[in-house]
Amino acid sequence: MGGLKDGQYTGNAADAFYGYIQVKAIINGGKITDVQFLRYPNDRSTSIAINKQAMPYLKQEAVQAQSAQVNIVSGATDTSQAFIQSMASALSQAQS
Amino acid sequence: MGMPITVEILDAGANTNVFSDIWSHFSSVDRKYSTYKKDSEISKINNGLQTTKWSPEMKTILRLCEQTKQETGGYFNIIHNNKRDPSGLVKGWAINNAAKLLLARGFQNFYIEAGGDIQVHGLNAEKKLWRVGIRNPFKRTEVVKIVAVTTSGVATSGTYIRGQHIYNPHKPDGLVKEVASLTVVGPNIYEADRFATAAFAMGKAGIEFIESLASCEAYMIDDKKQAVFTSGFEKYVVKA
Repeated sequence: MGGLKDGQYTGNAADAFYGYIQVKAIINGGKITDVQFLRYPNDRSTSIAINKQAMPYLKQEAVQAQSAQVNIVSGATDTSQAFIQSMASALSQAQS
Repeated sequence: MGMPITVEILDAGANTNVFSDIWSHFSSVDRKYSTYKKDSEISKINNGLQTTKWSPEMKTILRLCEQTKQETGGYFNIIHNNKRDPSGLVKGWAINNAAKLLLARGFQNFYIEAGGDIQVHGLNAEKKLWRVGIRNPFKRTEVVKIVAVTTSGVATSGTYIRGQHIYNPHKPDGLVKEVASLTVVGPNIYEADRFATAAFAMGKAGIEFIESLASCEAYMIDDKKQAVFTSGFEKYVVKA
Protein backbone atom coordinates (compact mmCIF):
# COMPACT_ATOMS: atom_id res chain seq x y z
CA MET A 1 0.00 0.00 0.00
CA GLY A 2 1.83 3.11 -1.21
CA GLY A 3 1.08 6.80 -1.53
CA LEU A 4 0.73 7.58 2.21
CA LYS A 5 2.38 10.62 3.75
CA ASP A 6 5.23 9.77 6.12
CA GLY A 7 4.66 10.43 9.80
CA GLN A 8 2.81 9.14 12.87
CA TYR A 9 -0.95 9.26 12.93
CA THR A 10 -3.20 8.59 15.92
CA GLY A 11 -6.70 7.43 15.12
CA ASN A 12 -9.83 8.26 17.08
CA ALA A 13 -10.80 5.91 19.87
CA ALA A 14 -13.46 3.68 18.35
CA ASP A 15 -16.16 1.90 20.28
CA ALA A 16 -15.73 -1.79 19.49
CA PHE A 17 -18.68 -2.86 21.68
CA TYR A 18 -16.38 -4.65 24.06
CA GLY A 19 -14.25 -1.61 24.76
CA TYR A 20 -12.29 0.98 22.84
CA ILE A 21 -9.65 0.53 20.19
CA GLN A 22 -7.24 3.30 19.32
CA VAL A 23 -4.34 2.83 16.95
CA LYS A 24 -1.34 4.81 15.88
CA ALA A 25 -0.01 4.15 12.40
CA ILE A 26 3.57 4.90 11.49
CA ILE A 27 4.15 5.66 7.83
CA ASN A 28 7.58 5.47 6.31
CA GLY A 29 8.41 5.61 2.62
CA GLY A 30 4.74 5.88 1.82
CA LYS A 31 3.92 2.58 3.54
CA ILE A 32 2.67 1.46 6.94
CA THR A 33 5.74 0.23 8.77
CA ASP A 34 4.24 -0.09 12.23
CA VAL A 35 0.92 -0.05 14.00
CA GLN A 36 0.65 0.56 17.73
CA PHE A 37 -2.42 -0.11 19.82
CA LEU A 38 -2.83 2.81 22.19
CA ARG A 39 -6.05 1.40 23.60
CA TYR A 40 -7.18 -2.18 23.46
CA PRO A 41 -10.41 -3.57 24.93
CA ASN A 42 -8.83 -6.64 26.43
CA ASP A 43 -6.97 -5.46 29.53
CA ARG A 44 -5.67 -8.89 30.47
CA SER A 45 -1.93 -9.37 30.45
CA THR A 46 -2.11 -11.57 27.33
CA SER A 47 0.07 -9.86 24.80
CA ILE A 48 -1.27 -9.34 21.33
CA ALA A 49 1.34 -9.87 18.65
CA ILE A 50 1.06 -7.47 15.73
CA ASN A 51 2.70 -8.60 12.54
CA LYS A 52 4.39 -5.65 10.88
CA GLN A 53 3.53 -6.86 7.40
CA ALA A 54 -0.13 -7.56 7.96
CA MET A 55 -2.54 -6.89 10.79
CA PRO A 56 -4.80 -9.74 11.84
CA TYR A 57 -7.84 -9.62 9.62
CA LEU A 58 -11.11 -11.45 9.33
CA LYS A 59 -12.03 -13.54 6.31
CA GLN A 60 -15.34 -14.24 4.64
CA GLU A 61 -16.95 -16.96 2.63
CA ALA A 62 -20.34 -18.30 1.68
CA VAL A 63 -21.39 -21.26 3.80
CA GLN A 64 -21.02 -24.57 1.94
CA ALA A 65 -22.21 -28.07 2.74
CA GLN A 66 -19.36 -30.49 3.49
CA SER A 67 -19.65 -34.12 2.47
CA ALA A 68 -16.58 -35.54 4.24
CA GLN A 69 -16.91 -37.72 7.31
CA VAL A 70 -16.77 -36.24 10.78
CA ASN A 71 -16.38 -37.80 14.23
CA ILE A 72 -18.53 -35.29 16.12
CA VAL A 73 -20.80 -32.34 15.32
CA SER A 74 -20.85 -29.01 17.15
CA GLY A 75 -24.00 -26.95 17.01
CA ALA A 76 -26.25 -24.88 19.20
CA THR A 77 -28.72 -26.92 21.20
CA ASP A 78 -32.16 -26.89 19.73
CA THR A 79 -33.79 -28.99 22.39
CA SER A 80 -33.49 -26.80 25.42
CA GLN A 81 -35.11 -27.68 28.70
CA ALA A 82 -37.48 -24.76 28.26
CA PHE A 83 -38.64 -26.10 24.93
CA ILE A 84 -39.29 -29.52 26.45
CA GLN A 85 -41.29 -28.02 29.32
CA SER A 86 -43.25 -25.76 27.04
CA MET A 87 -43.99 -28.60 24.66
CA ALA A 88 -45.07 -30.80 27.56
CA SER A 89 -47.55 -28.23 28.83
CA ALA A 90 -48.89 -27.64 25.32
CA LEU A 91 -49.35 -31.36 24.78
CA SER A 92 -51.06 -31.76 28.12
CA GLN A 93 -53.54 -29.07 27.06
CA ALA A 94 -53.95 -30.77 23.73
CA GLN A 95 -54.87 -33.92 25.55
CA SER A 96 -57.42 -32.39 27.92
CA MET B 1 -28.60 -28.21 31.62
CA GLY B 2 -30.85 -31.12 30.64
CA MET B 3 -29.12 -31.95 27.39
CA PRO B 4 -27.85 -35.09 25.68
CA ILE B 5 -24.27 -36.04 26.53
CA THR B 6 -21.98 -38.24 24.43
CA VAL B 7 -18.69 -39.68 25.58
CA GLU B 8 -16.35 -41.75 23.47
CA ILE B 9 -13.17 -43.24 24.96
CA LEU B 10 -10.77 -45.02 22.65
CA ASP B 11 -8.21 -46.20 25.19
CA ALA B 12 -8.45 -49.66 26.67
CA GLY B 13 -9.81 -49.93 30.19
CA ALA B 14 -12.95 -47.83 29.81
CA ASN B 15 -15.63 -49.74 31.71
CA THR B 16 -19.16 -48.95 32.83
CA ASN B 17 -17.88 -47.46 36.11
CA VAL B 18 -16.08 -44.70 34.22
CA PHE B 19 -19.21 -43.79 32.30
CA SER B 20 -21.34 -43.94 35.48
CA ASP B 21 -18.98 -41.51 37.12
CA ILE B 22 -19.25 -39.15 34.16
CA TRP B 23 -23.05 -39.27 34.22
CA SER B 24 -23.03 -38.72 38.01
CA HIS B 25 -20.81 -35.70 37.55
CA PHE B 26 -23.16 -34.12 35.01
CA SER B 27 -26.20 -35.01 37.13
CA SER B 28 -24.78 -33.29 40.13
CA VAL B 29 -23.91 -30.21 38.08
CA ASP B 30 -27.47 -30.14 36.75
CA ARG B 31 -28.94 -30.57 40.26
CA LYS B 32 -27.00 -27.56 41.46
CA TYR B 33 -27.06 -25.18 38.49
CA SER B 34 -30.25 -25.86 36.57
CA THR B 35 -32.57 -22.86 36.67
CA TYR B 36 -35.35 -25.22 35.60
CA LYS B 37 -35.14 -27.14 38.87
CA LYS B 38 -36.94 -25.35 41.71
CA ASP B 39 -34.75 -26.95 44.36
CA SER B 40 -31.39 -26.41 42.67
CA GLU B 41 -28.92 -24.25 44.53
CA ILE B 42 -29.08 -21.57 41.83
CA SER B 43 -32.89 -21.45 42.05
CA LYS B 44 -32.69 -21.11 45.82
CA ILE B 45 -30.20 -18.29 45.39
CA ASN B 46 -32.50 -16.64 42.88
CA ASN B 47 -35.27 -16.93 45.46
CA GLY B 48 -33.23 -15.16 48.11
CA LEU B 49 -31.03 -17.76 49.81
CA GLN B 50 -28.59 -15.88 52.04
CA THR B 51 -24.96 -15.78 50.89
CA THR B 52 -23.71 -17.54 54.03
CA LYS B 53 -25.51 -20.64 52.77
CA TRP B 54 -23.99 -20.64 49.28
CA SER B 55 -21.64 -23.54 48.56
CA PRO B 56 -17.93 -22.77 47.95
CA GLU B 57 -18.23 -24.19 44.44
CA MET B 58 -21.17 -21.90 43.65
CA LYS B 59 -19.17 -18.92 44.88
CA THR B 60 -16.32 -20.02 42.60
CA ILE B 61 -18.67 -20.27 39.62
CA LEU B 62 -20.18 -16.85 40.29
CA ARG B 63 -16.71 -15.38 40.65
CA LEU B 64 -15.69 -16.91 37.30
CA CYS B 65 -18.85 -15.44 35.77
CA GLU B 66 -17.99 -12.00 37.12
CA GLN B 67 -14.43 -12.34 35.81
CA THR B 68 -15.75 -13.34 32.39
CA LYS B 69 -18.09 -10.36 32.46
CA GLN B 70 -15.10 -8.06 33.05
CA GLU B 71 -13.10 -9.69 30.27
CA THR B 72 -15.92 -9.26 27.77
CA GLY B 73 -16.99 -5.68 28.39
CA GLY B 74 -20.12 -6.83 30.17
CA TYR B 75 -21.34 -8.96 27.26
CA PHE B 76 -21.12 -12.11 29.35
CA ASN B 77 -23.88 -11.37 31.82
CA ILE B 78 -25.67 -14.04 33.80
CA ILE B 79 -28.52 -11.79 34.96
CA HIS B 80 -31.73 -12.17 32.93
CA ASN B 81 -35.06 -10.89 34.23
CA ASN B 82 -33.39 -10.27 37.61
CA LYS B 83 -32.36 -13.93 37.94
CA ARG B 84 -28.89 -15.44 37.73
CA ASP B 85 -28.36 -18.07 35.04
CA PRO B 86 -24.70 -19.15 34.85
CA SER B 87 -25.31 -21.90 32.27
CA GLY B 88 -23.26 -20.08 29.60
CA LEU B 89 -20.17 -20.81 31.70
CA VAL B 90 -21.22 -23.88 33.68
CA LYS B 91 -21.68 -26.06 30.60
CA GLY B 92 -18.09 -25.66 29.40
CA TRP B 93 -16.78 -25.81 32.96
CA ALA B 94 -18.63 -29.10 33.60
CA ILE B 95 -17.44 -30.72 30.38
CA ASN B 96 -13.90 -29.59 31.11
CA ASN B 97 -14.11 -31.13 34.60
CA ALA B 98 -15.42 -34.38 33.14
CA ALA B 99 -12.39 -34.41 30.82
CA LYS B 100 -10.09 -33.88 33.81
CA LEU B 101 -11.78 -36.86 35.47
CA LEU B 102 -10.87 -39.03 32.47
CA LEU B 103 -7.32 -37.68 32.26
CA ALA B 104 -6.83 -38.42 35.96
CA ARG B 105 -7.70 -42.04 35.22
CA GLY B 106 -5.11 -42.25 32.48
CA PHE B 107 -7.37 -41.93 29.43
CA GLN B 108 -5.82 -39.91 26.63
CA ASN B 109 -7.91 -40.39 23.51
CA PHE B 110 -11.51 -39.36 23.98
CA TYR B 111 -14.14 -36.74 23.51
CA ILE B 112 -16.99 -35.49 25.64
CA GLU B 113 -19.87 -33.71 23.97
CA ALA B 114 -22.75 -32.05 25.80
CA GLY B 115 -25.36 -29.99 24.02
CA GLY B 116 -23.15 -29.36 21.00
CA ASP B 117 -20.10 -28.28 22.99
CA ILE B 118 -17.10 -30.58 22.81
CA GLN B 119 -13.82 -31.28 24.55
CA VAL B 120 -11.44 -33.56 22.63
CA HIS B 121 -8.19 -35.16 23.73
CA GLY B 122 -5.60 -37.09 21.78
CA LEU B 123 -6.53 -38.71 18.48
CA ASN B 124 -9.49 -40.47 16.90
CA ALA B 125 -9.81 -44.16 16.01
CA GLU B 126 -7.83 -43.59 12.81
CA LYS B 127 -5.03 -42.13 14.99
CA LYS B 128 -5.67 -38.74 13.40
CA LEU B 129 -6.92 -35.42 14.72
CA TRP B 130 -10.57 -35.48 15.79
CA ARG B 131 -12.81 -34.23 12.99
CA VAL B 132 -15.47 -31.90 14.32
CA GLY B 133 -18.21 -30.69 12.00
CA ILE B 134 -19.96 -27.36 12.43
CA ARG B 135 -23.68 -27.80 11.95
CA ASN B 136 -25.53 -25.66 9.43
CA PRO B 137 -27.78 -23.51 11.63
CA PHE B 138 -30.36 -23.48 8.81
CA LYS B 139 -30.31 -27.20 8.11
CA ARG B 140 -29.44 -29.39 11.06
CA THR B 141 -28.72 -32.47 8.95
CA GLU B 142 -25.90 -30.64 7.21
CA VAL B 143 -22.34 -29.84 8.22
CA VAL B 144 -20.87 -26.66 6.71
CA LYS B 145 -17.32 -26.71 8.03
CA ILE B 146 -14.98 -29.36 9.37
CA VAL B 147 -12.14 -28.71 11.80
CA ALA B 148 -9.43 -31.16 12.82
CA VAL B 149 -8.41 -30.76 16.46
CA THR B 150 -6.61 -32.37 19.37
CA THR B 151 -6.82 -31.36 23.03
CA SER B 152 -9.16 -28.46 22.34
CA GLY B 153 -12.62 -27.21 23.10
CA VAL B 154 -15.20 -26.46 20.40
CA ALA B 155 -18.27 -24.52 21.48
CA THR B 156 -21.13 -23.23 19.35
CA SER B 157 -23.55 -20.54 20.44
CA GLY B 158 -26.57 -19.98 18.33
CA THR B 159 -30.28 -19.61 18.03
CA TYR B 160 -31.57 -21.62 15.09
CA ILE B 161 -35.21 -20.80 14.70
CA ARG B 162 -36.37 -21.32 18.25
CA GLY B 163 -34.57 -21.63 21.55
CA GLN B 164 -33.49 -17.99 21.62
CA HIS B 165 -31.63 -17.94 24.88
CA ILE B 166 -28.77 -15.51 24.56
CA TYR B 167 -29.40 -11.89 25.32
CA ASN B 168 -27.47 -8.78 24.50
CA PRO B 169 -27.33 -7.07 27.88
CA HIS B 170 -26.55 -3.73 26.28
CA LYS B 171 -29.56 -3.57 23.96
CA PRO B 172 -33.14 -2.71 24.98
CA ASP B 173 -35.02 -5.66 23.47
CA GLY B 174 -32.14 -7.89 24.42
CA LEU B 175 -32.31 -10.59 21.76
CA VAL B 176 -29.48 -11.40 19.37
CA LYS B 177 -30.80 -11.80 15.83
CA GLU B 178 -28.15 -11.13 13.17
CA VAL B 179 -25.84 -14.04 13.98
CA ALA B 180 -27.19 -17.54 13.43
CA SER B 181 -24.26 -19.33 15.03
CA LEU B 182 -20.79 -18.69 16.36
CA THR B 183 -18.33 -21.55 16.85
CA VAL B 184 -15.25 -20.99 18.98
CA VAL B 185 -12.20 -23.28 18.99
CA GLY B 186 -10.19 -22.78 22.17
CA PRO B 187 -7.51 -24.43 24.30
CA ASN B 188 -10.29 -26.13 26.28
CA ILE B 189 -14.06 -26.16 26.34
CA TYR B 190 -14.29 -23.93 29.44
CA GLU B 191 -12.59 -21.07 27.53
CA ALA B 192 -14.37 -21.80 24.25
CA ASP B 193 -17.81 -21.92 25.87
CA ARG B 194 -17.64 -18.77 27.99
CA PHE B 195 -16.21 -16.74 25.10
CA ALA B 196 -18.68 -18.18 22.59
CA THR B 197 -21.51 -17.13 24.90
CA ALA B 198 -20.15 -13.60 25.31
CA ALA B 199 -19.15 -13.16 21.67
CA PHE B 200 -22.56 -14.30 20.45
CA ALA B 201 -24.21 -11.63 22.58
CA MET B 202 -22.07 -9.03 20.78
CA GLY B 203 -23.74 -9.78 17.45
CA LYS B 204 -21.53 -9.38 14.40
CA ALA B 205 -18.83 -7.69 16.49
CA GLY B 206 -18.34 -10.94 18.37
CA ILE B 207 -16.01 -12.35 15.73
CA GLU B 208 -13.75 -9.30 16.22
CA PHE B 209 -13.68 -9.99 19.92
CA ILE B 210 -12.50 -13.56 19.33
CA GLU B 211 -9.92 -12.21 16.85
CA SER B 212 -8.53 -10.13 19.72
CA LEU B 213 -7.93 -13.26 21.81
CA ALA B 214 -4.61 -14.98 21.12
CA SER B 215 -5.92 -18.31 22.39
CA CYS B 216 -9.17 -18.70 20.43
CA GLU B 217 -10.40 -18.82 16.84
CA ALA B 218 -13.96 -18.66 15.59
CA TYR B 219 -16.33 -19.20 12.69
CA MET B 220 -19.47 -17.09 12.58
CA ILE B 221 -22.49 -17.72 10.35
CA ASP B 222 -24.86 -14.80 9.87
CA ASP B 223 -28.56 -14.72 9.08
CA LYS B 224 -27.72 -14.46 5.36
CA LYS B 225 -25.65 -17.66 5.36
CA GLN B 226 -22.38 -15.79 5.06
CA ALA B 227 -19.49 -16.86 7.24
CA VAL B 228 -16.81 -14.67 8.78
CA PHE B 229 -13.86 -16.32 10.49
CA THR B 230 -10.82 -15.23 12.45
CA SER B 231 -7.40 -14.98 10.84
CA GLY B 232 -6.05 -18.09 12.60
CA PHE B 233 -9.11 -20.30 12.04
CA GLU B 234 -7.93 -21.83 8.77
CA LYS B 235 -5.21 -23.86 10.43
CA TYR B 236 -7.98 -26.09 11.83
CA VAL B 237 -9.97 -26.45 8.63
CA VAL B 238 -10.24 -29.77 6.82
CA LYS B 239 -10.68 -29.06 3.13
CA ALA B 240 -13.18 -31.57 1.85
